[in-house]
Amino acid sequence: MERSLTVPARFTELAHIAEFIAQAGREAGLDERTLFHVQMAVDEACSNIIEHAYGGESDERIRLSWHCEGEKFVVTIQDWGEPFDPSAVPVPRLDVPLEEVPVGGLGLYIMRKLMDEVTFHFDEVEGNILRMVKRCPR
Amino acid sequence: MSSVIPVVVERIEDRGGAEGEEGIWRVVPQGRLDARTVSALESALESALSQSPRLVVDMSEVPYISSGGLRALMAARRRARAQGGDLRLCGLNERVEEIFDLIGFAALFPIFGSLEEAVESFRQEG
Repeated sequence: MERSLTVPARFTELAHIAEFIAQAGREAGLDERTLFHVQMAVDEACSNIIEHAYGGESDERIRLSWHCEGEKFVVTIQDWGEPFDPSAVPVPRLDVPLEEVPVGGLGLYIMRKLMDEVTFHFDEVEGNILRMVKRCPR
Repeated sequence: MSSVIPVVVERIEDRGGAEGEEGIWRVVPQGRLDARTVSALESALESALSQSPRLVVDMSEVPYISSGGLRALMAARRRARAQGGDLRLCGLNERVEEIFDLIGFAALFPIFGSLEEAVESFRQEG
């Protein structure tokens, strides 16, 4: 079973995306805490796509889909913007004084903190494909 | 990008320290803080910081905060400290507080359970 949602790359869609993930979480039987983590990771991913892959709001597409693999809840997010290279994003250090905390890279850092697997793949035809996995024993 | 959540900015009267001082200001975002709405928080923080460097951000009406919201709080606390004050948080809901702990943001902000405790912490400093 796979469910999907395609929306334009606009910040107003973030609330719709959160609702899509909430519905997905209910169907998959995620607890409230796990669902919150997945929603936040997806929100960060989609915000990054709008801001960086598409360079701002546009009518270009973001496609989300989800399915379960055993105890894994899998979300896939696809865009057709600029190729994304996660290795080019420095990991922010938060164990330093506030004045020294870097501003960039926080969204990706949060995604990796909240999800069990975060992998990026770029394909000339399929675009950027982000796969995020959350283990959720039921 | 439009900003669509209300953010209350108000001086906390009678708790502002000595006469002539800027006092303590309370900033209360009301709603989800994501990439769409964060500009409302940024404007409110800027407005409050132009009045006083001593701010309490009351998060009791924020069900969700994204990295954009966290960055806005971080930037405002830096500015408050540079102006000789501070930015303190109160009223985080359970989920938001857990996120602060998980990603290490709890170490970057003084967090209080209630508005009164946050204000009291400023008053004790005189």
